[in-house]
Amino acid sequence: MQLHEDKYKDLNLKIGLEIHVQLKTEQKIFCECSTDYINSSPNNNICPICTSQPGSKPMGVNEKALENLLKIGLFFGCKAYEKPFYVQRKHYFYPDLPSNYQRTSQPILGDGNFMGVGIWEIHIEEDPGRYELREGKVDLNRCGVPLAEIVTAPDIKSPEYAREFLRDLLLSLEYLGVIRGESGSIRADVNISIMGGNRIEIKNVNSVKGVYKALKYEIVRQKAVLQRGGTITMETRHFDEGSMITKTLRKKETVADYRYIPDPDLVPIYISPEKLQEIESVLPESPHNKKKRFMKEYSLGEEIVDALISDLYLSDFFEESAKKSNPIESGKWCATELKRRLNEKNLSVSTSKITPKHISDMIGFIERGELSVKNAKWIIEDAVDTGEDITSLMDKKNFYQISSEDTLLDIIEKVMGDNPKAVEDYKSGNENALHFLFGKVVNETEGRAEPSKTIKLLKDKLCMVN
Amino acid sequence: MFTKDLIEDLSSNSLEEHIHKKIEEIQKKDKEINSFITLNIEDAQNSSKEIQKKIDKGIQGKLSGLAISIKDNIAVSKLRMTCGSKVLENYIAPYDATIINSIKKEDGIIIGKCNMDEFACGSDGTSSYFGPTKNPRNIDYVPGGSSSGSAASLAAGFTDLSIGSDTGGSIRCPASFCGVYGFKPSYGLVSRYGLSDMAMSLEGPGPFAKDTYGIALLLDIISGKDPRDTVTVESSKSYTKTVENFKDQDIKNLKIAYAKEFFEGVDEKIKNIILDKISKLESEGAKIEEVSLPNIKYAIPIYYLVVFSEFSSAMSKFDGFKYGHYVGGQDIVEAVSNTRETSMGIEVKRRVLLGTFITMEEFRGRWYTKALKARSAIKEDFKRIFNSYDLLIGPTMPTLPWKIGERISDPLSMYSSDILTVSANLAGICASSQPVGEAKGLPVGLQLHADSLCESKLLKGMRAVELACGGI
Amino acid sequence: MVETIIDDNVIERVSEIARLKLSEKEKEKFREEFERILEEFSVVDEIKVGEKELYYVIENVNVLRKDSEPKPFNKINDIKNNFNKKEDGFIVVPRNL
Ligand SMILES: [Zn+2]
Repeated sequence: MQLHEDKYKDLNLKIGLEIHVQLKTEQKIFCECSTDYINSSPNNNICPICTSQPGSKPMGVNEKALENLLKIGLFFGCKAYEKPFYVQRKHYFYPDLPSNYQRTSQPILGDGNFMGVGIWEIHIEEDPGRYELREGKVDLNRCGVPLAEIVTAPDIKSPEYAREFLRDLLLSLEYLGVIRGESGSIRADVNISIMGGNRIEIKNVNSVKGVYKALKYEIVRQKAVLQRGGTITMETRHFDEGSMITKTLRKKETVADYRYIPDPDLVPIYISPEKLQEIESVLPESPHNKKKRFMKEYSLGEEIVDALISDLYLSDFFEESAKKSNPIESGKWCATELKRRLNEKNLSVSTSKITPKHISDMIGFIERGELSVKNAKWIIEDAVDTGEDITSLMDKKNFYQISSEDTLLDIIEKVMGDNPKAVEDYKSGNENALHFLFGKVVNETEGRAEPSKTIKLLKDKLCMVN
Repeated sequence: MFTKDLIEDLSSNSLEEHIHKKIEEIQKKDKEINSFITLNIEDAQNSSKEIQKKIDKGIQGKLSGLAISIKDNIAVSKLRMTCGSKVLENYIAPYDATIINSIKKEDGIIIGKCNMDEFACGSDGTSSYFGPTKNPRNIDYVPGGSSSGSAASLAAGFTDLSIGSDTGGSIRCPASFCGVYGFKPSYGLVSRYGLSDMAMSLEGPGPFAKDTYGIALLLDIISGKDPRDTVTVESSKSYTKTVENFKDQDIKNLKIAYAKEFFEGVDEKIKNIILDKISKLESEGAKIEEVSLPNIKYAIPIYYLVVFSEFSSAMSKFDGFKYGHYVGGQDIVEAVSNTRETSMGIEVKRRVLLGTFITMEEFRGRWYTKALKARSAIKEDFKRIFNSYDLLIGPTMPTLPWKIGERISDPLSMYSSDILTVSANLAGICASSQPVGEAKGLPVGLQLHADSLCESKLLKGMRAVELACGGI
Repeated sequence: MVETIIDDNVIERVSEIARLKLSEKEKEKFREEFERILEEFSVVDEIKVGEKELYYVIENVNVLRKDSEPKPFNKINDIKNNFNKKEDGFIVVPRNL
């Protein structure tokens, strides 16, 4: 898929994302409570600090949270800012925010790139609790779970690419081992402008699917407004997960002035070059370096490589399978059919049952002429779903191709004997008759006849008949 | 030394009786003084029994059962913490402040929680939701604020020691007005964990006592690095020794500066008493020189701009949902607005609104950021002085205590009374106030400053003044 | 002189942002007071200031904390007892429809 989707070309779509992911730590960012807020009954994973009791102060920032954030930044090719950063207070009243300000740092790293989308900056902040607005109930268990906020440039040109970008970004973060796995969730604020119009911000989108739906809805809505001769004014809208539409916020909810101030209770933090080096040394190969290496080492095309490295589990999987098969073939299968099937099933190679051996074995069968390319696609689907080995799948599906000339000739003779009229037609110059007879051979072999050999033998045999 | 002797007496006399006497005094007289908001009588009596057993075995902590009153903006687990406000009228603290932990560990007996200006917003102890505290020396006069109850409870003999907090003079001012010793430690020396916020970059808890020794004793216990407060630093914890080992000879090694700016506009009677003490120190061999602090005249506006900004941020947490007074309303906006409107006092509202205003997008550059830039100038002034001198000496307050009610209506006149105390907080240095005389029957306090984390120098200075005033 | 003129709109907005409802009388009183206070405070303009804001008077930097086993707070009920209104462990607040 490309950054530019043709169908949106006239709209000059500009989409930017502010992505929130929970960083993986044992303790919360400013206190010693567990980050496992899910397995606790309401308001039972709290302490004086994360509930902002009068007099409580934040403890020093959880070092692990910061390290995980640095990993993310460096992995996306960001540079860390040299001057110390402050943790700031962002003031707004909301029942899930015990202090009624959110602690959020200044940008820590910036100027990176992932899948052709610029990463503007990355910073750390605290997760608020949960406010069930319909029921008017508040649970503070989640307060203080460390979050990374990743802000992208408005480089995304279609809802489809936004979806793919987010899916692959999440996979990369999971691969790095820096985000909380079980929640699997992503929270994003989505910025969109069309045809040079004003920017609309959509808040609180809570899933990859939600981002896609919100964008689709906004495009339709904004187009309709413009067609009626209206204008799009800059505003913040709320995404409703239930109805999958965006809604404008009431006026009094938008009267905001965050009044950022450096938190006097948290001294500045300075990331030393040594610290960065230490993190970099344990970091997996960056997508950028991997891309260069794949193109050189395996002679793969750029498009295939991009597809492979956007999912790092897949790129490892590919390298493993390429050890025992032709890397060009393996790369192609991994980047196309395998990736398609995984996306379809919302799986990753790490969560599905397929192994690199499946791919290398499968390529062997194709190279020996025992498996057709068409059937190979079915093999991949089955391997993803069941993990059964290729030989037994070949047997079960009866996918072995017939390429023995003797066997094929026997069948061709039988078909010609059964269809004398077609043989006559061919001889009087009707080319269609050849296709008819070929079809009969394919049927007779339940699709297993090796096509090029069959055509050749069929032609030879027809010529021999007088 | 009074506090030291008291501890020694307790090891041979009955602690239970000592505590009982304090309680009796409180019950007899505090209706009038109003220095306590919440008493901890039963707990204190039980503790006195427990600690008596320890004393009998000779295993008691350093505080040895001394009675300590605590300003009501410091969390003591299971006790009400009101901050002198309707907002927290029924709030029971679910945890101990770090310094409370340390005090309990050293067998201090917490006798009650002290009255104070609402959320420490006040300089004379009259803005409490629980009524004004009165000056034990003359109940028609204010005791000073905002740690009004701490100073008053000590001066009235209700307690042996007290803990207050100082954001811009809130320990030194009432110490001066009530005639007791008060100490504002350097920023970062004492943990603020458990101290309810007023202006976080300026404040910290600190001790009140009847003498320098008492101050040093508490300082040894409450100072030091705390993982729950990132601004804290390690402490030598040898302050008691410093005071005990003080010799008259030490006065000769002190280089003391006085700034003419610290005497401008000061009541003549106060000025004379302070100048007299300065001469006394000089006659005993201290080197005294005049210096200039040209930026002090800007200290009040800088200080209050910082206070408003930080206070408005700190007060956001009070929405009535998690704790505190709650009124409610149709939606979350109305519920919070109603709650805050009906529970906060006038000075608190004034500061919250002003602080919100000066940190808003379009006004912050004009006020908030400018104040912070100017704050550097004050810090530089002191740095320059302390490069050449050990101590800076002067009065604590520009006036004697005023009559209750006299300054309520005009915020600017109330703010101006902090002129001599706020600079220490802006610069983060340590400062003290101690009684050195009387005028019109009301106490006069002398203020000493020393550089950041030079508590030992300051204590030596306090001890020198204490001895110069005929102390033992 | 204060170039910041505090008009009724500004007071209104400040009271909304600070979530402090004010009566008309209070608005007028505070508006007048704030102008007077800020007028007096504008003497800070006389100080020659550098470009650097002094946010922290201490030199502590990089106070970080090692991540380790969570240490659950042992008096959670004392926190919950202060909740204004509880239901099934949740804090009850107005709905937002
Ligand atoms: Zn916590």
